Parts: sequence; C-alpha cells; structure tokens
Amino acid sequence: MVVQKEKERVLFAERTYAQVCCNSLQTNVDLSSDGNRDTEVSRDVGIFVVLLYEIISDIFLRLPIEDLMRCKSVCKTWHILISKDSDFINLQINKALCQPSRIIPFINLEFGYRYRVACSYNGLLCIASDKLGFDPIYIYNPITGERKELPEIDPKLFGKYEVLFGFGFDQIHKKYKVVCVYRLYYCHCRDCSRYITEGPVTTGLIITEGESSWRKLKFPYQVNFRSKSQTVFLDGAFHWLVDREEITNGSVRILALDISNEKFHTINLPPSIELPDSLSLINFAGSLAFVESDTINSSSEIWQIVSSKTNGGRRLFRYSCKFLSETNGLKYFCRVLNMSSNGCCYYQATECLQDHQRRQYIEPNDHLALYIPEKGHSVMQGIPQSFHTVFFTPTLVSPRAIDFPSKPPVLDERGRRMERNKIGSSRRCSSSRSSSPSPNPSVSMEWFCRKGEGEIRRKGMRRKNCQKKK
Amino acid sequence: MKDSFNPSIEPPKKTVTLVSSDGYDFEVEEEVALESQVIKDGFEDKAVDDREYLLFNVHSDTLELIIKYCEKHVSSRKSISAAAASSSSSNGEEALKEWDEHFISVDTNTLYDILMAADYLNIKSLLDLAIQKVADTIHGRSPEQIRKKFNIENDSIIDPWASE
Repeated sequence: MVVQKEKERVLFAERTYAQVCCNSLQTNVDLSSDGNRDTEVSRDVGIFVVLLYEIISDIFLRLPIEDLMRCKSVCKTWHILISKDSDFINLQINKALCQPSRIIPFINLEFGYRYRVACSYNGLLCIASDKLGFDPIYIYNPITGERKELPEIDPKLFGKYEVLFGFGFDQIHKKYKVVCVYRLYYCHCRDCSRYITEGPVTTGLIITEGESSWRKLKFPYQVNFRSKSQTVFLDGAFHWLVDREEITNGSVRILALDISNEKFHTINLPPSIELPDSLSLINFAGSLAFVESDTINSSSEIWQIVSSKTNGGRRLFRYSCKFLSETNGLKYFCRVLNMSSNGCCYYQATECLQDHQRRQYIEPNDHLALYIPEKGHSVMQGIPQSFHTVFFTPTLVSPRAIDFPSKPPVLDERGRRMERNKIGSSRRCSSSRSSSPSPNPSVSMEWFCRKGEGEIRRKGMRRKNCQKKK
Repeated sequence: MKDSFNPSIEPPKKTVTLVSSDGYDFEVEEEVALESQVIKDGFEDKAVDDREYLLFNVHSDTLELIIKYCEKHVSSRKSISAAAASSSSSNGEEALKEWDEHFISVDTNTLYDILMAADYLNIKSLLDLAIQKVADTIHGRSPEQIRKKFNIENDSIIDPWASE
C-alpha cells in the first residue's frame, strides 16, 4: 500500500513531454488564429462546458495535474481556464502547496545532455547547462512545457568555475529571484598553465524579476561546492553549506541569504556536535538537513535542523537511511533525496561501474528507491535509466509571465554595445527576438563583470597572464 | 422538549411549499427546506406567514431528488446525534456516505441538473458531493472519453489524444 501510494507521486517526465508537445502545438493553431471566438460558448457543445466558473474551477482543483493536462485538450473553454486563467492558476498553486511535493525523474529530452536542473520553486525549474555563459539559463515549467530565458551571464566568468544556482520567490516584493554562486576551479593537471595556487573566492550574481542584468553579490564566507552541493531555498532564504577548510570559526555551518533584503546571515551549530567532513545540505521534509555524502556505505546519516516556531530555537534530529546492499556483484552509490510524507526515505542509487565499463563510456544506471524502516527497500519501476531527481510541486504557472527581459540592455558606449551584439548573434540564432529596452539601464552587467575580473586578478596573477596570451 | 414526553399530541410540523419551474408544488417540512442556505436566508428576512418559494431554475424532477436528499440528511443527522447522546455505537455516518454514493450515481444530465440546483439553492454538502462525483468521473480518463461522457463537442482542431 505504502509503495503504491508513493509511486503515484512520481511524475514521469517522458509522458509530460509528450503532452507538452501536443498541447503547445494546439495552442498555436487554436488560440492565435481566432482568440475572440473562444469566449463564446454555445449551449449545444455539451452541458458540462457551460458550468459556472466557481463550479468548474472547484472540479478542476480536486484533480491531480495529470488529469488537468488531459482536460486541457477536451475543449477550448477548458483549455483557456486551465492554461490562461491567472485566478485559477493561483488557486491551483495554493492547493498544490498543501500536498506533498512530487518527484520528477528529469531527463534532458528537450534541453540536451548538458542541462541540469539547478533548483525548483512553485513548480518552476531553473535549468542551467554545464557550459555556463555559453548556453542560456532557463526557467522552465515541466508540466506546461513553457520556458523563459534568463538574461545572459558573461561567458568570460565561466568555464573554469564551479557554479551553484538558486531560485526563489520574494514574498514581500512578489518577485522571483535567481542567484548564481561560483568560484575558481582548482586545476590539478601539471602542464596546464592556468594552475591556480591561491584559495578560491566565492562570488555571486543575483537577478530580480524585472531587471535586465545580473548584480554582483559579495559572499562573506566560502561556500562548499564539493559533494553534490546544492542551494536550498527555504523560508524566504537561500542556504549554502559553508566550506569547512576555509573558515576559522568552526561553528559556522550554513550561510543564508535573505531573498528580500539580500543580506547574509549564518546558522551556527554548537561546537559540541560532531559531524563528518563530507556533508551536503538538502531540503529534508521541509527543513534544512545535513546528509553524509560521498559514501558507498550501506547507510547514511541525516541531521535535520528543525526550527521551533515559538521561540526561534533550533533542534537537531538525527535519522539514518539504509541503502540497497550489493546485489549480483553490483555496488551502488547512494544519495539521500528527501523524506516521504509517511516517514520513509527516498534515495537515488547509481550503479557503480566496473573498470571495463568505464572504459567503454557506459552510462551508469540510476534507480529511485524508497527505504521503508522495518520493512526494507522498494525500487521504483518504469523510470528512465539515467536521470536527475527533482522534488517539486506541479503547477500551471507560466514562466513567460515572469518578467525577465530576454536581451541584455543596450549600453551607452557604442563600442561595448557593438561587441555585445556580435557575441549575441553568433551564439544564438534565436536572439533576433524583439525585446523592449530595459527600464533600468543604470545597472550594467559589463561593469560588474569587469569588477569581478579585477578581483580575480588580484587573487591569482597567473590567470591574468593566460588571458593576455589569448 | 415537551414533545418527547407525549409524542401523540405533537403539533403539526411547520411546512414550506416549494414551487418548481414547471409549476409543481412540493410541500416539505421546514427543517428539510432549511438545508438550503438560500431558503434559510430568505426565511429569516420574510414575514412568518409567507411560506411559498418559487424556484425558477429547478425542474420538478430535480427538485424531487433534492428534497429526497435533504430529507435523508435531516433524518440521519437526528439519528446520529441521538445515538451519540445515548453513547451507543452507530455506523450512521458510514451508512449515510453509502447512501450518498448511491444517490449521486446518476446519468450525466441528472448530475448536471443536481449540480446546478445545489448551486442555486446553496446546499453545500450536496454541491460538494456532486462536484466530487464529476471530478471522480474525469479522473484517469482520456480527453476523448471525457468528451463522450459529458457530451462535449470537440472544438479543438488537433486532438493529441486521438491515437489513444
């Protein structure tokens, strides 16, 4: 029973994609051609089409997202209500947020293999590629298939950095924000002239809905980029794990950035609590949690930080998740994902490849598994071989409604603008899309990039040399 | 409370007359009619002797069903509270749920009429029951099946589910 219930939470990305393609096709044909006729509903098309708005939206709100996507293609009236009516879409968000988040095994059918889900919020995913600065970053709704491109980040900043993205909603100003955290990458190969000896500097870029360029953020602490780190957006703040090697004050473990005022604060743990070195930060059942990472052990410990609603104090709860043991000589590399609504633990088990397989570039198989205490394990069937797991709330929010100007602002200086246009047109053919000029041209991305370069030069002189050579 | 001592001389129950859109009169007990929030609100505003309600939007067939539903709910609510008072275990609520399920298992046109009447008369529990029934009917069905079930004409040019 438990397993069956949990299986219903898994959203199959492939099926969603199939629907998405068809539905968007339908939108183009139907609605663009005769938008006015849609609002007229004749009595004879079927009685259930003409139900009162309150009744029909109440009916739809009781249905899971899969049914809504099917209802969308029943008739035009329903299509408009489900995909265009902002009141209904908002009601659906509130409804969906009350339910446990769904799991989506994300495979990169539409975006290509380089893309990964950076983070999710309100049913929207922030999708970025490994080659940042060259491939655009998207806000994407996997349910409706709609996407929105974010303003570009200067490619000069990337390529040699590790990057983390965060995506969240500012409840005070009612705006979405995206934050990008990056730092220098240690290059260990000997003959590489770009060997960086000095310590890395964590730097960030942030963009608010309505802005046309990224602003720079100064990080007070170094963020941990290793061991599958991620940004956790929770309670109106982005959270990162602080890099242990960089800090002097041993108790500082989590760095938080308030999304509204963009101020940093830290979450400290009493030094008496001893945690292993290799940790990552996750959202575990709606709370921050440390998880033992980089382990091929048969179990993993989870330390969940639960904030008290009344006095603001924090308590640390410890969980233990057991993993699938070795079967048929196959070892698994396991990673804790989240807690299910009934106290079980989700984890992703990736098969460890043998040496000869590694040489043949075989993609390791991923499994989505559920650890049920006292009962054992259940491996979800029918999931693609290789995927990233995303926990999210399926909604009908359109990323296109988020106001990110699709092109960087036109700069005052002619030389710079021309250079930018050249880069833009050679990189993407789709950049010819018309866009309104930015309402806020005083913040220029170029300037921030240059400032960033300056700081990096001070930190690592060698980098400057290699750029000159170019 | 006097009634319970001597039920035989109970005064005749107050009644209300409901008139359907096609002109039929239905005489129902006051508490049954008060299940409808609309009638209840009107009842409080109106003079005491005015006990006739014209329901322009409700056909006699539907009104009959609605009255049947309200009567059942009023009587079973009484028996449930009586069972609770005497602290005897009863499965009244479950029985009522079963009855509801059976009641709402009707054809699509009747369901639509009940839905509209429950909305018009503002009978919350019935509206909820009917909405849930429609939602359950839609759940898991393909667009083509939904269209067939609810007699909806396909006004989309491309039907992505035609092959299913």
